[in-house]
Amino acid sequence: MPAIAVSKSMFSGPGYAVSAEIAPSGPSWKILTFFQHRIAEARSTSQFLQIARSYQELRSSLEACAGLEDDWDSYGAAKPARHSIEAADRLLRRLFVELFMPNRVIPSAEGGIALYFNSDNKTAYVEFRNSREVILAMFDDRSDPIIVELTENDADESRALSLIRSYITG
Amino acid sequence: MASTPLHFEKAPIREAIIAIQVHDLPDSIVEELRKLLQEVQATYPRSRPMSLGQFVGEISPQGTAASAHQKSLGFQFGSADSKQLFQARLNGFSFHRLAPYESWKPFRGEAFKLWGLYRKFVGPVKVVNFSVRYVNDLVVPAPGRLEDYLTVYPQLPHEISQELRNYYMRLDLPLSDEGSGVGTLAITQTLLPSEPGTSSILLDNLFMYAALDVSDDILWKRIDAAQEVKNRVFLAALTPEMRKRIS
Repeated sequence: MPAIAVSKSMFSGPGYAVSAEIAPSGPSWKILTFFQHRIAEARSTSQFLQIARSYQELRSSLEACAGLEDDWDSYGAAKPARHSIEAADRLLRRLFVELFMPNRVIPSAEGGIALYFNSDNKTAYVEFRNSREVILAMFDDRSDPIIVELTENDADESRALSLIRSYITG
Repeated sequence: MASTPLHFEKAPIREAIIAIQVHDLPDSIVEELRKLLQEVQATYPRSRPMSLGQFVGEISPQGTAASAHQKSLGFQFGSADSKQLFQARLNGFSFHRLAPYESWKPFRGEAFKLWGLYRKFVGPVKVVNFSVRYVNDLVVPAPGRLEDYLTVYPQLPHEISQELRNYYMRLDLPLSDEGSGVGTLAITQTLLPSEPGTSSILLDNLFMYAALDVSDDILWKRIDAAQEVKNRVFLAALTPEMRKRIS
């Protein structure tokens, strides 16, 4: 069984004390405060946990997209089809495993779901359309856009990931 | 005494961090840190400035007041694939290795090299503390029992539901080992997003040690000693079944 550690000066008699209810003084309290402040700072610095939080937010965006109705943009756009949501979800999960996250997940006015990646002046998106077309577009302010047409299969997913990664990080 | 390197084929490490905090350096040092970019351009071509923002609001019977303040803190430099990065700040340095993590030796070697560069640009520093942190993602079948995989987990009385939708557990434990010194171990567990049929358990072990004004030589000896402590703690937190799963 785990035991709660308190400094000996705080301990009185059998049982244990919860340090949060006591305002102790002396060196042990100073040591505790020293570490508490620094642990709070250190905990906010994990890149992985920032990616995990971003992944959760993107999953929430995808869930919101799944709840859209037809004409969600008031210009007649179709709601994202179930297979488009599932394909985007699959890619998102894979991106999380590879620790390479998009910036946004949004519904497409063409009907479908798009994952957007941004870095400096570069943008890339992969769009899973309700028509089962998968469009990969990469563009910046210096060169012509690169458009690649893909399908929803695993091989094309890997290709899309590899192309986006090398474009965005290149 | 050198210990046998700990190695698992399917190591669950998602991020490893060595961080060294120093007494705040003068704001003018930010310009020195900017020069690091040239030095590390080949291996860390991605850089971004880091700043510290502060917003203070006050509401009193006399009225309200608000002020905002922002100052440059330093820079973050990242490798092209974003798997490796380091921060050079006015209040310290940190080196991060994201998965895939190879082993302690190259990880520690790169951190040591970058710390040397940081020191070269900022000049004398007064170290406050250092930390070694391993953020692990243990993937286990779900539904399942925590006790099959972890030796450290929340215990619930039988009168209440044993089914966890999620949990967040943090333990702060004193550390006092020969070599690494006096410190605190913060163990954090929670459930991360996971694939269907699995659960991902975050096991975040942060080993933080006071190191007031120690020399670089002593600092890195203590960091090496902390590595042995982190191996011991990590192994102790896993059941044989979990060890088998990552082997």
